[in-house]
Amino acid sequence: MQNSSVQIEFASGVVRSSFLGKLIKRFPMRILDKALLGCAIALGLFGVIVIYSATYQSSSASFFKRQLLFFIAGIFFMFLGASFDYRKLVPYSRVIYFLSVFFLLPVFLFPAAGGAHRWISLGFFDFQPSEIAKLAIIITIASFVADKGMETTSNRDFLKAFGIAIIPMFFISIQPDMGMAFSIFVIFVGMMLIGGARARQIIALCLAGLGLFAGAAKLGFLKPYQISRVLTFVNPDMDPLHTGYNLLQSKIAIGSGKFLGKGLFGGTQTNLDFIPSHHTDFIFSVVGEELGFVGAAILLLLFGVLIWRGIKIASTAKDLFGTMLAAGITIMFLFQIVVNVGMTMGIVPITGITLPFMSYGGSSLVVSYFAVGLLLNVGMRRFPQGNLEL
Amino acid sequence: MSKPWDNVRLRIKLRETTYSKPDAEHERIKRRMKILGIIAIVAFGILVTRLWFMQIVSGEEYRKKAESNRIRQVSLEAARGRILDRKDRTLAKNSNTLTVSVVPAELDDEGGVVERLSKLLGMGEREIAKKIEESQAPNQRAVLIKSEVSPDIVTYIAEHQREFRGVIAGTKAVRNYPYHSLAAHTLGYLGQVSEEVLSEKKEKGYTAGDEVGISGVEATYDEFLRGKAGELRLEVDAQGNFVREISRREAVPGNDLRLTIDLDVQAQVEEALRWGVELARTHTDAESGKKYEAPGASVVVLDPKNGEIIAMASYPTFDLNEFAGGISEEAWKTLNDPKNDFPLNNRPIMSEIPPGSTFKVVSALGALNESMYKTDSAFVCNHVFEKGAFKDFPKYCWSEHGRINLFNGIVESCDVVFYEIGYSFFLRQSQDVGKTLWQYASDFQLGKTTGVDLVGEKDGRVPNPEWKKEFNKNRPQYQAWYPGDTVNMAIGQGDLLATPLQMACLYAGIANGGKFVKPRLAKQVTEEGNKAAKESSPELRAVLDIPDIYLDQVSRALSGVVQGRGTASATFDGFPLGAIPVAGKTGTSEIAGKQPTAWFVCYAPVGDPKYVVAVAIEEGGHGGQSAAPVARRILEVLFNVEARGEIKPSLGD
Repeated sequence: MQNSSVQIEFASGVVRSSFLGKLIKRFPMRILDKALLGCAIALGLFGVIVIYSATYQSSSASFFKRQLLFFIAGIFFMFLGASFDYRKLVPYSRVIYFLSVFFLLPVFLFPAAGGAHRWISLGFFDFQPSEIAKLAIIITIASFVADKGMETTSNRDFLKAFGIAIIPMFFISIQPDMGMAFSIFVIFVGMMLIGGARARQIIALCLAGLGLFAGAAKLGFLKPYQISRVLTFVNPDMDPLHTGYNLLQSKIAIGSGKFLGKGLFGGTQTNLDFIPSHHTDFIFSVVGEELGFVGAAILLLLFGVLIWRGIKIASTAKDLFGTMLAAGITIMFLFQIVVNVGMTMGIVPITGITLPFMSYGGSSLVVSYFAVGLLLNVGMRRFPQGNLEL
Repeated sequence: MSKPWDNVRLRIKLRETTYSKPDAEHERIKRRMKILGIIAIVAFGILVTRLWFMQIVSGEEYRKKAESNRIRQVSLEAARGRILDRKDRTLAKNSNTLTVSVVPAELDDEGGVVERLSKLLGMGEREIAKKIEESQAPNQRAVLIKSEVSPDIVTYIAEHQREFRGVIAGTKAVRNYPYHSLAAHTLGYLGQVSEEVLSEKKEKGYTAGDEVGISGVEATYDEFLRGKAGELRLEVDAQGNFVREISRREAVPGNDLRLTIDLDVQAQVEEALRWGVELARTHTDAESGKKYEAPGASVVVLDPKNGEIIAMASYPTFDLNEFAGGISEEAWKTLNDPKNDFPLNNRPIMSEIPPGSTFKVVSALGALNESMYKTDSAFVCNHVFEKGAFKDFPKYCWSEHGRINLFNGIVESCDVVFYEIGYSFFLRQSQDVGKTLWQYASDFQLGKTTGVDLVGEKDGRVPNPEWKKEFNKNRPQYQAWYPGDTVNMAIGQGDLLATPLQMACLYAGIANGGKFVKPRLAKQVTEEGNKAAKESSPELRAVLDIPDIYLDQVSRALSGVVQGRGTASATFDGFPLGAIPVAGKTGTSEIAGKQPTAWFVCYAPVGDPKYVVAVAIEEGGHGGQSAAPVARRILEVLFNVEARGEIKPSLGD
């Protein structure tokens, strides 16, 4: 017995002194949610492969290389997101919130791309601050709810919380990026409902929002394409060469994939540019076309596991902040997945919401991985081993 | 050796920290997360179901749409086969012309394409727009805007294709007829395939917008001539740019068609007919006191032994090249204007006219065959026939022949002789004795198409009591068969109708000893490289059941027509009948309300007939007067006889 304890001492000395050892200590595999981790990595790889297939013959094959780099960076950020005790975020939540709002402002200094100011150009990389703001709002709302408790939210608290969400939403919607703004709104609503908001509070807010949309449309604040997107959703076949064209081509792509798909690189709708933005918003159409029902279903299965683990982590978290954080992240993923996939199949209006882990884009990928890191973080901190600090 | 700490670690059961949340809160969280889970399951369920419906249930439909998105089918036109005369001289060929066409479906006129095109081609914008609008037939590939444009224009459009979306500039094979109107009716013209033909011949590779033969041999032999269109399948991207060639099936050129027509004879026949028509128009109709109008005329020249049509002419005629690449609206209207006497009608097969006295050979042969009369049976012609039932409705002969026998009745075309014969046929038919006159008419192949290889051939008509009853079904007072019906038929009048080709075939049958050979225009269909694909051979239609002796007797009588007291003797004055004995018959047929039609049908040389010539000049006067001169001119051409002096009209009927 004496002998073996010496051995343990010896071994732990080795472990403690090496970098690898530090990582192992920090992420003891037995308490890490391996299903979630595996899913996240699989999804990222899936995305890299599909982006390669979708863009290999177009002018810039760099999409693939860059996405691969973002993926590697994403893995790093995932571990980063799990590397500290998430509870430490609570005192910093205001700082995080104000910084994220502040970073939304410089986008207007950069030239618009595709009619919108969404990016801060860092030379080698266009950084999209709204992605960070989205996560910052989740953290802030989570800490707000944790502070307030699970009791029924008062109208005053509800408005306070909405105040937190509305400021970044405003800046994001004038970029304009209505998809992102709407995502934040849905995340806010979802988190508030879990955190004790009453249905009538939400309904009142939605009615006010609709009134605002109608008013903005009437007063000409909304771009015509934003209105037409909502309207063409009703009947995309009506005008196949214009607004409904994207949807029609996307549906043709997915449907034509049939059971097994046309094979990677074999998608005609993809490679002949019938699918618009096939490496970003419509990446699911590429999956549907090239990998068929089997590929698309596997992708949805991976996403399903991701959501399932997220819900599991949220409901077993050690404290209310952890629950709210995990729930917010899960709602974020769920909403983006359903809206993006639904849009490519014509059951949801076309919005600019990307598919997490799959759509091309560094900010989105890195933030998604960081969010998964936070989920892993919440999930493992309920075990004593998870609380090891270096 | 296993390391001990492995075992230690494995044995440790994971210990969770105490749940720090109050139980009520825990329960609430659990419930709400369950709701979120249900929402997620429902949402994913909807997505997977939708995916299933799109990819598994409607997958094939979407696959087809994806294919039609990326694949553009381009039809490669097959060169149409040439049409040659019997000596391999080209009557119809293809020539490549530089053309500018517009594909209406692809035309993007918001960019002012028509305006630019109008400047480039020097045509009015309206004219172009009208052309496009007028030919908005469904599935039409392209509308020809202008042909024979300069190569510069074609190059310019090709170089600026983006500014000319939907405009096609390039070479197009256009049918060309080097002899313009020569044998126009026989050759026929091309036009866009009609809906009916398309639905009939879809399996044979006909597609909408195809040019097909509409008339003449272009129509009859369309399937041989047209070849097989090739197909080019291209992959294109979303912008319509060419990506790669998927497959290519080369077009198979059409076969050449060799006709029985002789170009030289045809040309001179047409010239003779035109001359004959003009001559006829100089004569005055004694009855109306007006000049003959002669709005249309026909000639058929054929070889009685094998049915080969050497020449066939229809007057008036038209220039086939007007149809090349699509006929203009204006030209089409002109061709169909009643004032222009319908030049598109192929009269030798379409004009149904009473054969008049040319039919008397049938009556005569019938009477001889039934032993009703002999060639020397005596008749008396006092200009009028008022036997039996005709007491109250006498019938008249065009002349007064006095004492005359059957032989001379043919030579001098005496109507009274044939009224008698007709009346005898009537009496026999009412007693049900022997064959009727209409049965003989049918035996001579009247009342049915000859089966010539042309579209639109008319049946003609052989009346009989059943026909009359049916024809006057709504007028009971006209249903009975009267003696006059048979008597009129005996001189080729009444309800009897025949086409010039039918009359040519009838005389060919007599010339050929009772054998009727199907007339034809195709000699040979040859594949590219002169391989004979289909050789056309004579086809026996029918054999007359009449002894040769009677045929000889009638033939001799017909030889008398062109000499002595014959009705066409003046016309054949000076013709070397000794070397080239001609047997023929004049005819002047009446249609109520119209001027008489002049007929002359003949064959030569008697004994070993090489040609049958049938001439019919509608409302052109008397047979000997207007038709026989044309026939003589044609015989001179056929037998290479030097024309001597003016050809005189004969006064005979």
